[in-house]
Amino acid sequence: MNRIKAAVIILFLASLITAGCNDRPPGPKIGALAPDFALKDAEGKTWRLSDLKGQVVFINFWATWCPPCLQELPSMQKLYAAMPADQFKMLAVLNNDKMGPALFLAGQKGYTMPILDDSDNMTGSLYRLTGLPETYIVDKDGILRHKFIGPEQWDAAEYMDMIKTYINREAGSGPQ
Amino acid sequence: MRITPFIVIGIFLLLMLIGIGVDEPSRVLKLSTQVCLACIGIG
Amino acid sequence: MGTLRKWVQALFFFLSNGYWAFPFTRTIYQGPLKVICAPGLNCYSCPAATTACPIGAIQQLLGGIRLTLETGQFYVGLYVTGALGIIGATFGRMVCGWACPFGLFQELLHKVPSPKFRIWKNLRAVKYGLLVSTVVLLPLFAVNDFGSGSPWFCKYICPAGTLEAGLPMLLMQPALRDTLGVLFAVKAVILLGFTVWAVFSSRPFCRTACPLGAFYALFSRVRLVQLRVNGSRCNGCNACAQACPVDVNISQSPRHPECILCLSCMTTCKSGAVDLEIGGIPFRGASVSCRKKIGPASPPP
Repeated sequence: MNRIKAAVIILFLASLITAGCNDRPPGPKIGALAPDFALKDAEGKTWRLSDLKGQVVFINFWATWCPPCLQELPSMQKLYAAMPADQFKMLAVLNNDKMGPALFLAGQKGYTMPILDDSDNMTGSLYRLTGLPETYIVDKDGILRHKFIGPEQWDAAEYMDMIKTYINREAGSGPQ
Repeated sequence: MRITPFIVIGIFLLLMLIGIGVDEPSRVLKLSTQVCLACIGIG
Repeated sequence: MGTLRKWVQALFFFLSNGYWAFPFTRTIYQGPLKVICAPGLNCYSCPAATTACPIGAIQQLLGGIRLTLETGQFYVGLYVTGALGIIGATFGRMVCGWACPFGLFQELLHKVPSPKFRIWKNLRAVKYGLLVSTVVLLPLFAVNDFGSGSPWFCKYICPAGTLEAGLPMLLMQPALRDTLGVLFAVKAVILLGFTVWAVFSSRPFCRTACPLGAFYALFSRVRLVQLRVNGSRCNGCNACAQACPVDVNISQSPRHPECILCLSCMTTCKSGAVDLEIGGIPFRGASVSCRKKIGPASPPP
């Protein structure tokens, strides 16, 4: 009897709290079109992912309260500086954080990539973030090619080569 | 009737209210709604 | 009393971990309830967690304190410390005995039949060391080039995090398996160690390593809810000490920092010498209901 009671209460509590969550659109899939978003940078310019077709896009979700995010930013800046600006875009999407402190930090450390405001986590939830930092590489056709959870050393040769490979590949040339 | 517990509760209540005043709960919410990968030994 | 406590423990387990949609969404709960600090040790990276872990939150706030102050914000942990202090000054380590999911986990493990061993008393001090070092000093002072510190306790030790968040996240997000390293191996060994130890000894993590338990223990003399031993009724039979899951002799030290107020001693005491008091006023209901089950109080010798 007690077990039945316990099961009922457990189901009740579970349903009560689970009821608050709603269906979300499917998350990003490797090999499929990366979910489109439009975010503003510090100057108020809107960056729309679908407008960047023909360029390789590096999307990094970060926040100032996330130590591993700060740890990978210097190597991101090096990667950003090393790639041709007309074929490669790096978007540092500030997720769940305030722009003020982020811009202060970027200014102090000399980061020049655009910092986009996702303080309301709309794009973050579209991408179904597991935890920060998270990085997505999108090719010239807008296809999501790689997803990285956790910090990486972005100026390492393997990543530099990987980005260069996507840059050198013509848009519309298919998966390989 | 012991007064000490109420004094201690009062002090911490004051701390908590100051914390709420400077909007700390919003930061706690942001921290707790993301998986802290480094915290759980991954990444 | 034991049954009531089990119910309360189960209730708090499900209140702290009430999001059961995670197998479908494959993410953690991200709703507004997470602004609340759980009273017990319950990792907020746990997919089912509905509240924030106070120990995790305080480490992350202290780790980010420089940047937050530099940019004119004031997130220094006052809200979390305040909330913890209110709970501590009211209930103290009663939280460990009644509301902590990881305490419940260890208690259930201890029910596995095996030879049982006591814990060396000096190990009790370790948790205070961990509180001061891994929760406060290291996050504050061991900083990287950006002036931000790591949550040392979560990162290097917390077995609750490995159990509730590390393992489930690996199951839910296979991509994470590539990122595993020495750190995760170390944490898995710590979890395994405490899991095995909990079978042989009662609540080893609570008693030797839990920084939250250590913080609540600081309130053992001032907290609102206390145990009181009536010396004239106590016949010195030591039944309470035998029943105590944390090896405290309550008849000698009713305000012992290790006491988790599970009230086993009150239930066991046949002479009704142990009472609960709230703010210095005896709360007779608890001990009366215990005695009813055991039978009338035997007269003191």
